[in-house]
Amino acid sequence: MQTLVIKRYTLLSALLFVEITSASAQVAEIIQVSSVVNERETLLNPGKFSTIPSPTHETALILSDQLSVGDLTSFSYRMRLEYDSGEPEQRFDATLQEASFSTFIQQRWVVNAGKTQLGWDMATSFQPLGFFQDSENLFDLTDVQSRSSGLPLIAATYLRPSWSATVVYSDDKWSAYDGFNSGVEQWGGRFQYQSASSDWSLVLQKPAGQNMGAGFSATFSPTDYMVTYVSAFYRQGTRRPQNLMLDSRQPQLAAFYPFSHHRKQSDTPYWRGVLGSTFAFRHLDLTLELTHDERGLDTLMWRRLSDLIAFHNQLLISETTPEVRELIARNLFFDSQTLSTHGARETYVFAYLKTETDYADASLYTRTALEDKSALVGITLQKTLSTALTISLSAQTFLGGQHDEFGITPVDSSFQFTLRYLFN
Amino acid sequence: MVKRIFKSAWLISLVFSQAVIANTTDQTSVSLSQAQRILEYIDQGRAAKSPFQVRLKIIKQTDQTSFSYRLVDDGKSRSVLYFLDKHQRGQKVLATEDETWFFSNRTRRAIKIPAVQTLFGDASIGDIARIRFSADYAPTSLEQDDELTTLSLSSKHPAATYQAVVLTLNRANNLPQQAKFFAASGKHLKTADFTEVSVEQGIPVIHEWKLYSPDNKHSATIVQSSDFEEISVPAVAFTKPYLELTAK
Repeated sequence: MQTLVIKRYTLLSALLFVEITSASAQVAEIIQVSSVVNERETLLNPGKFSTIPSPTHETALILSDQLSVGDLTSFSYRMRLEYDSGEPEQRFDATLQEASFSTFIQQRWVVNAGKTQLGWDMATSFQPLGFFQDSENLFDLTDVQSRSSGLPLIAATYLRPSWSATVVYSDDKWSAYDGFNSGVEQWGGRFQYQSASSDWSLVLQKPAGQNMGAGFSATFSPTDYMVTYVSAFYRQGTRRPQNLMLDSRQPQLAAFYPFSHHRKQSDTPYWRGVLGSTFAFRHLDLTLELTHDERGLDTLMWRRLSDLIAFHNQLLISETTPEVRELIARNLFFDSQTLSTHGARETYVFAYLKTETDYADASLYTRTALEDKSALVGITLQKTLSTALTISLSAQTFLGGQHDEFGITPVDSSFQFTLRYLFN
Repeated sequence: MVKRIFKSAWLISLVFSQAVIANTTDQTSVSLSQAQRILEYIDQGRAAKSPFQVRLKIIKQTDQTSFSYRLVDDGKSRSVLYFLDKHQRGQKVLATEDETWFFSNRTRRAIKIPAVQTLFGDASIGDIARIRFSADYAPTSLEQDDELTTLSLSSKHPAATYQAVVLTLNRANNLPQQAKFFAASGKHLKTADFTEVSVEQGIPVIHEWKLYSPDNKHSATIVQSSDFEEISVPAVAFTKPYLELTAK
């Protein structure tokens, strides 16, 4: 009954917004994503015991607009109303992804307030300075599916023609703490200097309950066809959660949720950084990035995770008692939590190739873990059928040996069909 | 005696050759300054000397798909290209004397890009956002026949979209007819035919031009310019931090 009420309410809201949109030339778009996942048997998925939902169909209505209030102030928002028909149950969701205003004061100051994003990096696959934005999504690099959200923040920037200084305060207390950018109270500052051929910035950032960190970024153009960029950040301690079972030399079963933020106040230094270049060839753009993040698992810790997965795998195969099997299966699920799209290990190479033909736009990308040479490879074809309708087809496959990061993933390949329709 | 005559002849020839060189240098500098004046004359029709905006429509000839943009220029050397179509709205490009930046609306990242990067069809970002020939290129030669003037241009700095340009004009009125764009390797990358040009209040206004690659003339991209308007914009609106922070 409650689901029905929510459903009706969401539908009414959506219709109301479409009406408003038609009247005021706001942008309303429907994004339909259908996904198919091909599971495979790996150490993490013995006998394909896990059930990854497939196929899934997700429909979202995205409403957005940018409104000018006089010459100096603007307001923008983006809202996502989502319906997921995946099994076992249907799901409705409404998210205010961004809603903020910016105002320009006395020809020198810009003030931003509300839920918004501040991007301080240029890199595509990894943003070491991305404190005030969503984590990157490797399956949708340009956010065609409109999933990125802002953080509640207030920022003041002093502008000069060749330099700027920004101070930001953000408290994302309405969101759950996830060890990344969500649910964090933090402040940051950036000084940026722009010369004739390069762009430099120095950054400080301090999350509540953690040490202050410092970083920098630089961008320059060595040739007419090439842009090179670097950004890096250093802090003692990290809030990224880690599986406590990895602290033990002998693989064990966890009877509790084993992830903890125990490295938050640590004195251990954690560097992260990216060095990248983009090349614009004729009809072809190429991006290459080398990323390093010491918050991930080093060789020793990866071996422990691999041994832990192998141990849980053997236990599940040999165990017949349903209760114990359930506990072991839960442990394999915990093990899989380390394998996020952010990358479980430290060093990766990312390559992204994009071309435009008369028939479609095509992009090919790969992220390779340098420690074990396993890789995620993806391809996307996008066709604009009219000014209102765009379709795209994406496919990803995970390559590697049974103890490698992308080889141990229980997904062999996945496919997404995305339809994007804009209302006039 | 023979020796003296020979010496005199040698001296005369030396003086004569110096005079010829001086004369040729004078002619070259005259023709280059004439070429520079022609470039500045053409730029008057592409950009005003005070802040202005103009609407641009880019049409792919093969399937007639099109995108619209608003170009805002500071009247000196900086411009911002705003994407107007609904599914691109919020994206923008900043072109300064030295750099070109793309601002993504969804991920809010400022991405430095080479000006030669494709915008749509055969139009690269530099073709649309970098509008002053005289700011990006210096003339290296001027040749004329009965009907045409041909200017060879070479890039002044790395931010210029191309390494070299060969610009052909009507000799009688200096209205541009065609531009050929070349890479550093000397490869002919693309051609622009100026298909609609008129003189308005003594200024050559380019209303439409057609871009195509030399190996595929049949799939051209047409650029249409309209609604020119002088406006008032603060100088700081043409800086990267301002564009990163504002949604306008």
